[in-house]
Amino acid sequence: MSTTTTDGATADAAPAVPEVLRVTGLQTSYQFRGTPVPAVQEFSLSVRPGEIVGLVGESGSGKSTALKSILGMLRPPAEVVADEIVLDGRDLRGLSADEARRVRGGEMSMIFQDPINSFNPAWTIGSQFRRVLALHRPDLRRKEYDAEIIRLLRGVGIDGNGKLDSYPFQFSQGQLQRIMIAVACASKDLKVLLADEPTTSLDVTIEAQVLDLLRTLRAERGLAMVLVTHDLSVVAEMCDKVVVMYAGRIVEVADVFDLFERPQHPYTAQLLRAIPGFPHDGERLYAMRGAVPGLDAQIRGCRFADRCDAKLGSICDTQAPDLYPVGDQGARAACHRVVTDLPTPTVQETSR
Amino acid sequence: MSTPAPDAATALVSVRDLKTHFPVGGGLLAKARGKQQIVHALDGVTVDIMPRETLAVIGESGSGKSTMGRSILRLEEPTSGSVSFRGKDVTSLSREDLRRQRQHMQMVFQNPYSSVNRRNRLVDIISEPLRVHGVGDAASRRARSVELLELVGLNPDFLHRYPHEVSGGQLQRVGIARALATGPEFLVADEPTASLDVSVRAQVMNLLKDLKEELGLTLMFISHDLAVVSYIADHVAVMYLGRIVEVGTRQQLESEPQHPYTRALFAAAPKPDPRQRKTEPVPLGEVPSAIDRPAGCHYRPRCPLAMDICEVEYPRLEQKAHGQQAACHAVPSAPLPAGATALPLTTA
Repeated sequence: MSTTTTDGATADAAPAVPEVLRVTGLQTSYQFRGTPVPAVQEFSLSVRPGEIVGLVGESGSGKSTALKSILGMLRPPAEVVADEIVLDGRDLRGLSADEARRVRGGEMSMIFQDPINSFNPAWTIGSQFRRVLALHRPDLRRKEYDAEIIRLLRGVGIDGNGKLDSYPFQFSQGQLQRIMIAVACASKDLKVLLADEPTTSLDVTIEAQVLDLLRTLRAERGLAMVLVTHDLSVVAEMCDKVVVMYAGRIVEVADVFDLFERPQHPYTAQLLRAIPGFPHDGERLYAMRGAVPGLDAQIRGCRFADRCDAKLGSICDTQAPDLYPVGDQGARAACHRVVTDLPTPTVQETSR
Repeated sequence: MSTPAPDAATALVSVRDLKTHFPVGGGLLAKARGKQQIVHALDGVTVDIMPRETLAVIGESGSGKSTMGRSILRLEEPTSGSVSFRGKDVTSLSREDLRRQRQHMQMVFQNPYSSVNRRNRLVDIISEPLRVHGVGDAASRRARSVELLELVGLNPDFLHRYPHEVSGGQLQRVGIARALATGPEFLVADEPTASLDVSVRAQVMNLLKDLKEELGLTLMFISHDLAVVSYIADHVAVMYLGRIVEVGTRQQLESEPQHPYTRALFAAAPKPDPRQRKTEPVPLGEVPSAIDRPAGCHYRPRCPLAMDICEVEYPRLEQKAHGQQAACHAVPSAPLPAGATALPLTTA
């Protein structure tokens, strides 16, 4: 696979290749009944060209919010604060509205979970595509648009001849998802593709096709990707590096092979254990007890302490762990066990 | 047509050549001209579900798996064919008889939030089937609700909460409690864990398996998630465009899948292990529309094994070498041994 997987993988490791996207100190709050509720806290991310970084977590973990904050898609009353959001050496926070619009879809674009709602149902595919070209492809003249659209569609496996006047409902979900990818990748300056659960609403055989397409795009254009998903199988299939989120914070950052073989945070370990294997061995499924705490919960210690099968003791209830470095390859984990040098035990007891 | 199967007498639910077609598009004019189009959502399914067993039905969207579950319970009216429950024909029951029959056969839905009335407290949601069927008085229904909550692992003080006050996993437990209220023997669960997070999914799956053992339930479990099916199923049926293309025991299908579609489905599913990344090409194309289906075998346009005969003749579902049944011309069939143990399936 990619050559960028094995050597240092995170912000703090000395990168051999400069990162194309760097985010530090990101904090996003939503307003709930007049009070700000933090959805994402102390978030950071580093992505190198050609690298696919997975952003994993369950619902409410803040993974989609983090992605939308990076692209500048959130509007007040949502509040986004960050130390830096640097794309290819330029901090996006200082851009004018006009410049920001050129970056979105130009150098960094996003694809969404639901392809049907991502298109305007009353406009033809061709007209929606042309608008994107008008904004992000100054190299083309107006009459060259259609030929370019057909070329881009061919790149995602769709024969666009005679279909540019079709409406979104005339395509299947899998086709629309591929068209959305073609639209997102229309710009020649594209450096980073943000994908928010791009295959969650698709059937398995179509999912396999879309994942294959994303891999091809990475190989052909050297695109960097941030892939938000709740599905650890998709992470295993696609990613070089993984960021695990829990209740609005990062709990672990690791190379994908290390994450699946030696998870450092108990949440990651328990999450991996909760996935049923295929074929199944007939053993009872491991189930995590309890539920994710609310965003507004006042928690002094570790946010995962109540559900943790590897809890150390009172320190977990009283002191929130930092995101400590693990080893010297840039991996990190927010668990007191990392600094106490205790291994994360493989969980034996099966709880219900 | 179907021949009476040897197991039909002992089966709890027997489905014979069940078809459910939906008319689509076109106004009165198209109807008058006979040009109305038909969606063959379910197109001739024959299957037996044995008492205390779980039949899992897998397939992609549009394969007819949900329509099959709903047609068996007559939440959708089948176009033709029959369903019998303990030998009693359900398809011909009158409305009133069907209502009574539903005490014995219930459904758990995919999305817990959209399958309950959000203005009702959980106690009303759980006891509604009892009220509908006129079981007991208010006090006994309430006592039964507490019992049901405990059965699905929830605290009795949940009774007075509203749906928005509990989590998705908890509300799905409420959905299961409601389905169990009248003490049914047969439960159709349509993707009951698809909308739940990984950590909660395992809890609900364990609960379903426990309840099945404790209460001796017979289950039809509809899912697209192969790992979840592998955990709970005794038999598995694979559907494609309204028909069963392969059916057998879980072990038969998992160790030696015969139909090329089953193999593609198993191969396409991503595995939770980066060392098992896909190296082989992914399956081509998409599921064709159930309105305009390919002639002959419906899987032919995507099939790597397609032959000439596949263009003209839909293959019969017949027994293959490993013991399960599959509908494929390209896979050699095996002679049926005396006293065959496979599910008594016949031509589609």
